[in-house]
Amino acid sequence: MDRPIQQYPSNPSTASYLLNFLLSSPEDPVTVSSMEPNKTSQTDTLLTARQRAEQYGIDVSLIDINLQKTPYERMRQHDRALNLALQLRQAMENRHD
Amino acid sequence: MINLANLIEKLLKHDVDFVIVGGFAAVAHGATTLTQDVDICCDFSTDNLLRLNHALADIHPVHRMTPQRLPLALTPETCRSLSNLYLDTDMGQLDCLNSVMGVGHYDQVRRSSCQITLPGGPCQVLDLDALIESKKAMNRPRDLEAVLQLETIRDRIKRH
Repeated sequence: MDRPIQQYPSNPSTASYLLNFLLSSPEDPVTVSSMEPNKTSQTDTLLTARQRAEQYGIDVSLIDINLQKTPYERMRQHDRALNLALQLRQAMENRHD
Repeated sequence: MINLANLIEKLLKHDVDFVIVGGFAAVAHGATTLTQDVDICCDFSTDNLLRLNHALADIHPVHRMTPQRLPLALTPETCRSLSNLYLDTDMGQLDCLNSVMGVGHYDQVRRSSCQITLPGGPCQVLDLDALIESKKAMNRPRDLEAVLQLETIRDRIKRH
């Protein structure tokens, strides 16, 4: 039985994708807020998922923004951010050549 | 230019039987991750693989794991020997898997999927519970963060 992904009303921000992406290796997917993640402890079972994510260092507000978009809008936003990040990475590599 | 969304649309247009899994499925669900490829779990029947080959024909698919980057040129005979395909195309990388760790083979993956609507029509995406299980099974450092994001999304959806 096919089930729909829940959608919410909308809006964006892709800039923070880019910083982490540029700091990552080409092979690794990156997240918007994981530069200095605070590892969750073994005693955090009473925390909500959101609290665990925040404790790890994830900017949960960006997830909230994503959830206001349709899945297709999220995919398109992802592709735009990825292309921009790749262009910036290439520019940095050219600068060091 | 990478265009993973359009790559998916191409597969839909040619009736390829597949489910989006991995990092791009996480993106579809709302995760803030960036990934440089699309992972799909697909039916590895000869008919489906030939449809896949036809769908990608005009974007120059090559086997990216082979040193010579051989063009994708499937025949009914070669289809029978395949279990995974790791491709590069003009629109980005596409990994075609016959199973997903923590979930199972294609039939189980299909049963564990949900439907989204894209401009090209309905598309199956691994559902949140199964995606979380697959990320836990992979157990790489980056998967831990994906799990935290996906669990946050699941809780948020349950509350609404």
